[in-house]
Amino acid sequence: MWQRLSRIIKKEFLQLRRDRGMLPMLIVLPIVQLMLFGYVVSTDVKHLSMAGIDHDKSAESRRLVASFSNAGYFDVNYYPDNMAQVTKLLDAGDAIIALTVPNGYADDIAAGRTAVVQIIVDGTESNASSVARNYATLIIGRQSNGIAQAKLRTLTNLGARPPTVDPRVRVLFNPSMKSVNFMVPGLIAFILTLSTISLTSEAIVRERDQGTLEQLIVTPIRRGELILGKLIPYTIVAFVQITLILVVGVFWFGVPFRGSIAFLYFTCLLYVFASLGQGLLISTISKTRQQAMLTTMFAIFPAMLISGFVFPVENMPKIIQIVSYAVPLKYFLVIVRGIFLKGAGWQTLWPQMVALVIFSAVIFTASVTRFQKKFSD
Amino acid sequence: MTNDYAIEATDLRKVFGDTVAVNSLSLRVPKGKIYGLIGPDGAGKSTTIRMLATILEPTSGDAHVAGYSIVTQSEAIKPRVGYMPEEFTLYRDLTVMENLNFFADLFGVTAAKKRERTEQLLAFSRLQKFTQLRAENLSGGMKQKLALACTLIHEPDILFLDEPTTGVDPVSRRDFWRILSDLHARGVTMFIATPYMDEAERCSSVAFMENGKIILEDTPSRIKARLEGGLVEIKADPLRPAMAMLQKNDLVSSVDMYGELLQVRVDSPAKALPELEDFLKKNGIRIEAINPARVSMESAFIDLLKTRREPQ
Repeated sequence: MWQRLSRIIKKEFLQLRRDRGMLPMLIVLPIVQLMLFGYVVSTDVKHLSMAGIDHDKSAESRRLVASFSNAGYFDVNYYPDNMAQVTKLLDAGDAIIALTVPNGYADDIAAGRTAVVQIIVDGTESNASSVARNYATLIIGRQSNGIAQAKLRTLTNLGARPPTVDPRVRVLFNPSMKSVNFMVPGLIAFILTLSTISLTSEAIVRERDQGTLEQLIVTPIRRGELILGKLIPYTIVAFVQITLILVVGVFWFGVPFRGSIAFLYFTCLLYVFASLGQGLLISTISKTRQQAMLTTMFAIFPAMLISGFVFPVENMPKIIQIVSYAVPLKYFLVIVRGIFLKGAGWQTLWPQMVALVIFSAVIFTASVTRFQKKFSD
Repeated sequence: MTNDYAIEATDLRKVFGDTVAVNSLSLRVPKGKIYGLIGPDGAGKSTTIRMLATILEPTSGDAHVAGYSIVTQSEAIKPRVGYMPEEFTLYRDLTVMENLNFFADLFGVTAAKKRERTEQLLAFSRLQKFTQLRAENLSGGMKQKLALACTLIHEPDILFLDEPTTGVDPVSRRDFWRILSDLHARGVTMFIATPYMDEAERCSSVAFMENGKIILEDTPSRIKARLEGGLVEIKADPLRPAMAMLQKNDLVSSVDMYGELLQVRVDSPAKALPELEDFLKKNGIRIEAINPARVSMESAFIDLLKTRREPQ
C-alpha cells in the first residue's frame, strides 16, 4: 500500500514541477492577491477631499472648518464661493463632501440660537460616503458640545463644569480599525479555498482527460490510495501557501497575530480537508477539464460573497444567511480571524471546528462513493 | 471457473444509450493462445476488450479472466493482466523511466525485480537511449513500445492489446511483433484487436466481429480455406477494359482491382489461368503478368463481409 501511495504522491509532485508556470503561480499568486487585497481593498476612510464654503467668515466659522481638517479624516482642499462651484466639484469627483457655513453663523451662536450648517455628500460611493457622513456628524456634534458647554459656563458663572456624559469608545482586537488586519486573515482562508479547490478539481479529471485513468484502473491501486495520493501533495502545497501569507501578512503588513500558530495550522488542516473534499467532488462529477474549471468558479465566487469574506453576513437577507451555513469558508473565516486578532482558542471556536469536520465528512463520503474504479459508459 | 481457458465470456452485453455496442458475445480463449479480433470500425472490438480488461462494466453477462469474474472479482484480475489501449495513455509529461517506475510500483514489483525487468524491457523495445526523454517527445512507434513495456512490467499472464500497431512504422511494427512472439513462447495469453490482416494471420485463432457480435471464429488457415476456389492475379494493359471483360467471363466469379493488379476469383486457378490468358489476348489485351495467387486474410475478410451484406 505504501509503495503505491508514495508513488502516486511522487508522480503528482513531478507533474506539478513539470507543468511550466504552475509552481511559480502557486507561490506568486498568493503574494499578488495579498498585495491587492492589502492595499487596494481598503475600507478605511481617510483624507477625504472636502470643499468648505464659509459665508460667515467669522472666527467661529473658521474654527468649525478647521476642526474638519484637524481630525485627519478630511482634507479641506477647496474654498469655493457659491453652490454652483460646489456642485461642479462634486460632479467632477474632486470633492466627495462639502460643508456650507451660512452667513450669521457666529451671530446665531452668540445669540444662543441654533445655528444650521449644511453638509453635502456624494452618495455614489455608498461605503465611503456613509463613513464620511458619520465622521462629519461626529465632528459637528463635538463642536456643538464644546460651544454649549462654554456658553453654559458663562451663563451660570459657577466656574465649575456642568455635568455631561462623555462616551469613551474603546475598539477591541483591532484598535486602529485597519482593514488590512481584517483582510489578511480572511485572505488566508480565501487563497486556501481557491488553490485547494481548483487544484484538486483538476486532479482526477486530468487523468480522465488524458486517458491515464484508464491505465490506472487496470492496476491494483485502491480508490483510497489514489485519492489520498492526489490530496496529500495539494495539502502540502496549501500549507506552504498558508505560511507564505502568514509571514507576509505579519511582517510586511504588520497584522497582529495574537493566537497560537500550532492551533492555526491545526484548524487550517480541518479547513483544507473540507475544501479538498469539494474539489474532489467536482473532479469526480466532471467529464472534462473545462467543465471542472467552470464548476470551480461557480463554487468559489458565491462562497466568497456570502461567507463574510468582504461583506458582513449580518447585513445579508435572511435567506442568504441561511444558505451561508452551507459554506465552510464562513466557519473558517470566524476561526482565522478569531485566532489572529483575538487570540481565540478551541474553547471559543469549537462550534465552527465541529461544523468543518461534519462538512468534510459528508463531502468526502459523497466524492469517494461517486468515484468508482470502473467506467459505466 | 476452468483451468484451460484464460478468457471465457458468456453472453457479454454492453449498451450505450440506444446503441448496442456488444451484443450477447460469448468466446473462449485457451491459455497461451493469441486470439485476434478483427472487424470494421464500430464493430465493438474496443468495448469488448475494455470489458474484459475490467475497465468497463458490462450491461449484462459475465466473463472470467484468469479464472475470476470481471463483474464481481475485478480486483483479483488486475495483477494478472496487462492492457494496452489504442490511444497513448501514459503520462506524457513523465520520462520513459518515470513511467516504467510508476507502473512497476503500482503493481507492487519489488525493487530487485523492477531493475531486472526494466532493463530487459528497455533492451527489448530498444528504448535504452531514451530513458530520460519525456513520453510526449517519443515517436509514434516508440510510444507504443513504451506502452507495451509498461503493461509488461508486472509480467502479466494475459495481455489485452487494442490495435497496438495502428499508426506505427513497419520497422517498429516488426519490433513489436518480435516482442509478442517472445511472450507467446513464454506462454502469455494474448487478446488482440487489429485492423491489419497480416497481424490476424499470426494469431492462433481469429474472430470476425460485426455489429457487436462475433460472426465467425476459426484458425486463420481454416478461414482462408473457407473461401472456395482461388485467385489469379493479372497485370494487363489496358486495365479497365480487361476488368470489364473478365467480369463477363463465365469462369470468373469476381474481379477486384488493386492498383495495377487485377485479382480474379476463380474456382480452379490451374484450370482457369491458360483459358483467361487466351480470352484476354483474343480481345486485344496485352498481358504483362499472370500468376496464381495465395488467398490473403484481407480478401477472406472482404469476401466474408460482402457475402454477409448481400441479401441471399
